[in-house]
Amino acid sequence: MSLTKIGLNLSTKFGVRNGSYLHVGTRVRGLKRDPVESLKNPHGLHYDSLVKDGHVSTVKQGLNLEKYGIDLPDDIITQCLTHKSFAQGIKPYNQKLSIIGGHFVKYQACLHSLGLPVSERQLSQSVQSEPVINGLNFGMLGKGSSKMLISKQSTAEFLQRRNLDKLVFWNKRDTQKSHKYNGEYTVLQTVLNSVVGSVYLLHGQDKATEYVLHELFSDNSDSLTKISESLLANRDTTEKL
Amino acid sequence: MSVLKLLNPVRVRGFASCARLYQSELSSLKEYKNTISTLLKNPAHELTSPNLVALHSRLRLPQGLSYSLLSRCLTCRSSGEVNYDNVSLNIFGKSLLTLAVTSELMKKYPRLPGVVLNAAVDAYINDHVLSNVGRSWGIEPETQSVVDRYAKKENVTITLGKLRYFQNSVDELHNFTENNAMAVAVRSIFAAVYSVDKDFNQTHKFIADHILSRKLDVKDLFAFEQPTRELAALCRRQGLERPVSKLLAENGRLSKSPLFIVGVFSGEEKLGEGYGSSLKEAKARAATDALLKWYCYEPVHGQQNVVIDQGEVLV
Repeated sequence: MSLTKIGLNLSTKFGVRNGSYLHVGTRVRGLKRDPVESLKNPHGLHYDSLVKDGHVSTVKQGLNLEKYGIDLPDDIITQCLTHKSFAQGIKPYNQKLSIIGGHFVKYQACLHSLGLPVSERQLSQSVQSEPVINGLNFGMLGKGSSKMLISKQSTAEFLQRRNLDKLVFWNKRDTQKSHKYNGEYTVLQTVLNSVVGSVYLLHGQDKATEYVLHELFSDNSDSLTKISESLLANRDTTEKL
Repeated sequence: MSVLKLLNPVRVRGFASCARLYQSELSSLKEYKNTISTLLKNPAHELTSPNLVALHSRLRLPQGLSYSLLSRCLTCRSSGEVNYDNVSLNIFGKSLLTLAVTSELMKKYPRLPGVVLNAAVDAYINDHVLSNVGRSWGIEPETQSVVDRYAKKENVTITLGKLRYFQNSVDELHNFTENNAMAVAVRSIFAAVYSVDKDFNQTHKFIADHILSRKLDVKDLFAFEQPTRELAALCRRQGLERPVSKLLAENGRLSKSPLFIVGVFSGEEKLGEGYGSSLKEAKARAATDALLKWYCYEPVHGQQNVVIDQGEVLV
């Protein structure tokens, strides 16, 4: 334990508080942590440097927001990158943006599955039934490929391929343990969902639909569609072995 | 009874005729059951089930939504109709409902904490609520077995207008109850409505009419463990002055039923007010009142377009 900063807080109306100690190092219950130390993500990036060092524009470029005419304010981007676990929630975090974004992505994934053509496998499985209802292929909903499209692994890979995972602010449950124990994929999923959620709330449903369809569910190699296909192929190969 | 008596030619002939009768009845029963499946799976055949016609008319469903599709919405997988059930419709219906309700709640109450938001969405579209919606729509569960219906010579189209499911588990936890089946059918109907126009706004209107029109007081969903501490943290985060509780009025302090009215202030601004039979209780109620006013804030229409909330205060 080391004393790093001792200051006087004169802001209270009811008297002068004594010196405040800001703790650096491992967490000690009851001690207030130094923001210089505590406001860092697992990759050592400080929260304040996100806007200062231009990381926000990196995020905008990585997510191709400008391509679709989407201009999200810097503070919203910062909020999207901040998980609830970071700094005990004193900074704006992405929980609710993630909730609405997650529901919207799920809805779009359903529409994506409904728009797929009827496969031969489907036809062979359903001898007497018709999976298409009013031109929509309801037979693919709930299948593995449909679930994998918006799974935690796919969305985490989506951000990792764009090198955005290092800019996410969250707090590990245990730094010594694996990403699975710490729930890294879940955290990364909330980031992508919250970006979609903020586009949905600030720019409307049409713009959010355009972004999801052309950026997330497109035929690009870094899209969720291709990522989920490769993940499914890897899983099938592993199961066969 | 001896074996010889059992092999009595008269008795044997009686058994044989019973078996023949049983075989013929069984085959006609199978035919009766197959007719139900054939009618359900043939969209070209116009079903004339009175229940379906009434339900279609009662809900003012779009003309493009066929009776066959409506009947499929009422057919659960447990009923035994292979590949012609409402499972996939239910998945899509759930997605539609969740998005519509969450979106509406976030627009109406932009500062609701995440937990309360999820609880509010659940309060609108959980199985129990949806099953009540289904009953209010007039959906009737099929309670008779196929044999009973066959014995009564009931028209096969009658059952296609009812909720068809089979409660096949004694395990209460994993039991597919009537409420579950009714909720699945209701969600499937929302998906079927979407499939006609493929327009989210039309479906949203249908959802608003039948689900969002139900009254829900979100204030009942809150439960603050440490309201005064949470209010202090909220004021600190929002850059407001530290909240101070002040006694506004009191009555009967020395009596057996005293009453205190406490207001909580941030500077000159009054944040909330509460009453109680002790100062502590009144103070907690005042802080709770202030927190509820913050979290249940409703933007006036046209005042501000979108409010992006920072998230609730963690204490």
